[in-house]
Amino acid sequence: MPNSATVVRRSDRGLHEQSETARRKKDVRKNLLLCTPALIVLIFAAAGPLLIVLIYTFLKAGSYGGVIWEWSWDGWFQVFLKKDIFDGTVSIADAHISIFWRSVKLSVQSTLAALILGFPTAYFIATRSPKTRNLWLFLITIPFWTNLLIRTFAIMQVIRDQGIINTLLINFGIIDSPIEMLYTEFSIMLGMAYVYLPLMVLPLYASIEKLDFRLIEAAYDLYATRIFVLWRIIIPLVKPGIIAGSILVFIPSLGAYVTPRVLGGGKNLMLGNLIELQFGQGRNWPLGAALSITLLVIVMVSLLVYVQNLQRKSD
Amino acid sequence: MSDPITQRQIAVEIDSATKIFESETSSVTALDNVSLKIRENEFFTLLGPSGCGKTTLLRLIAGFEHPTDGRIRLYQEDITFLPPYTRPVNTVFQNYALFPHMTVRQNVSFGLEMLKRPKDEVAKTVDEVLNLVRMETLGDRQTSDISGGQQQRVALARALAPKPKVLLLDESLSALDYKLRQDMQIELKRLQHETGITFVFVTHDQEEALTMSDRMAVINEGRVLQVGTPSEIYNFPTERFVAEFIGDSNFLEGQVTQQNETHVRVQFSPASAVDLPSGQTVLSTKKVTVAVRPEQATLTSATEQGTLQGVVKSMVYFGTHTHYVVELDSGDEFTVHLQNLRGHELHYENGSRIGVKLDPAAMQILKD
Repeated sequence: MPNSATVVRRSDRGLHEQSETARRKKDVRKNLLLCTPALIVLIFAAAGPLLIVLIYTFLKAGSYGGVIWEWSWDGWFQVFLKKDIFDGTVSIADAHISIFWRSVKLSVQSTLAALILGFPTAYFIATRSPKTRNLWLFLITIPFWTNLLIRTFAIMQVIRDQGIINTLLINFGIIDSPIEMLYTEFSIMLGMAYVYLPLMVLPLYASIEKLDFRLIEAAYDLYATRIFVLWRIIIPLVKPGIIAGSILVFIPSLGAYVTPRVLGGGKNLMLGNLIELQFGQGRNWPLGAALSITLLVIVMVSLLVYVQNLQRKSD
Repeated sequence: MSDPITQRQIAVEIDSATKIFESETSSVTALDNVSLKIRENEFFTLLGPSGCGKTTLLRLIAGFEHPTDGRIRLYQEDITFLPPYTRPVNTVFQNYALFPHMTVRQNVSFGLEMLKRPKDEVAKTVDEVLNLVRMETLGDRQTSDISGGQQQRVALARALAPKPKVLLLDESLSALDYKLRQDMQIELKRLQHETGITFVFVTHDQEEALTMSDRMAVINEGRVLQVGTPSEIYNFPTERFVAEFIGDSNFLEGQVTQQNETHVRVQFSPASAVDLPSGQTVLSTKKVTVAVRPEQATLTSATEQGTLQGVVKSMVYFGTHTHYVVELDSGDEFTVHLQNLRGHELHYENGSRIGVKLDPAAMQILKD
């Protein structure tokens, strides 16, 4: 008896699936029309320029900037290697490698910092009453209204040697001389975490808000302490928000330009600054273009590794 | 003959618990000085309409809420303010609350893992419990891939696996369809019998409460109105709400005209009076309300002495019973369910004048 029942149900499902796919195909055609304007913008403003950048990587640098339309591997060669101008020996471009490394390291750090700061914030907001929730969300988005440059300069005032933190610490007698925070890698990391924090909080909030809080009660009921409820129930269930938020913070951090420029004081370059240098003072457009494509590849590879890792953990 | 349940140890004791929910604009008294004793290995039901406080009471026992006043004890130990994860009490939630990111097995083993039981013991217990709820073949399924009835079984297995001292069930059957619900009612009784765990079951379904409970408490507006076995509650309701909420009842207003050690005489109309056995309640007033179950009264000819006089207003045939609604001369309606016995069919036409004959032993004077 149970067997015949499952057979019937299965064939039912088959029929249902067929009509479902037909309907979906129709929907896709209809919805394609809706996204056509955006697609056109993307093709002209993103895909097109990207193709031009890709072509530049294989051209020769002009002496006063720009490119000469001659085939050359120089751009790509210089990304990873350098040639001594006197004896012509080839060695690894360690300056570039260290900038790559710093960019990835600081981006990962600022993503983690934003996650650690953003998660409790998002959880707090999601557990407020619907009315106060909107107020909190509004407060979270306020920094977006202010120019990035101004916000970054404001951080400078907080962390510089005569800034708020150091002055307070010295006045309270906790330290004798100011802690050097500005123009360090730490200040860049802090700045990026701060600037991109709302991008972490919003997707996290969206996930946590959908969380069924009865599951948390069920876990408490089954002898899970707070830390286990967080680790075994909440985090796995809000993982989509964690992924989205981390991606939204990591990508702009990796290519950040203003924050490392202002808070890094020009000595702690990141990829964005290096690229700008090639198109400006360096007058080496092919190298700048090749570095840009390298950045793109780093982003794509990081995302693939990250998402796949998380997926594997959830299975 | 002694009732074995009354000699068992008290598993859960609610000692004058009050719960007030305060918000900025209002305060709601969900429980008002509730005291209850639930005995070991008892199937105890909290019955009441929605919003009566029965779920709040369950949540106090589980530890999700703490009482504003009063105490909660588990085998004499005060657990009033202990967090839920330290109480040997598990809950089967109304909507099951299965963890969607885990398989059936992972759900069932969760509690045991949190209790840090050794791995082989966890596996063994999970197998046992899945067997107990007849879900042994579906352990590796995702909880979203199984039917509502199966989810219910998983929720039960998950709550039973840590072998709690008390199992709380919050309207756990209400999401199931009728047939499945009846199967699960039998299943629950079997599980309770086999595990020997005290079950505290919350429901608003009076039929469910009557068929499943060893004892039950009827709750309304945050107060416990009556506690007793299903037959005590059904046959001897002490309050109008209880008589109304559980089964059907007729209510008759009467005057106490005579009262002694053996009986209480209640006069319903100049022509009809009934002598009720005394000792049910101490009567402080002369005016009383008496409850009569529709199946405990019979119809007879209007000429018979001592009956309530009336006219048949409607008659509906139900197979085993025929339901008559009689309009009494006092203006009240009185429902009578007559059993249909083959060869002894009684038949009264609409509009015919009849007498309602009452059985003194089956009448209950209510508290006011």
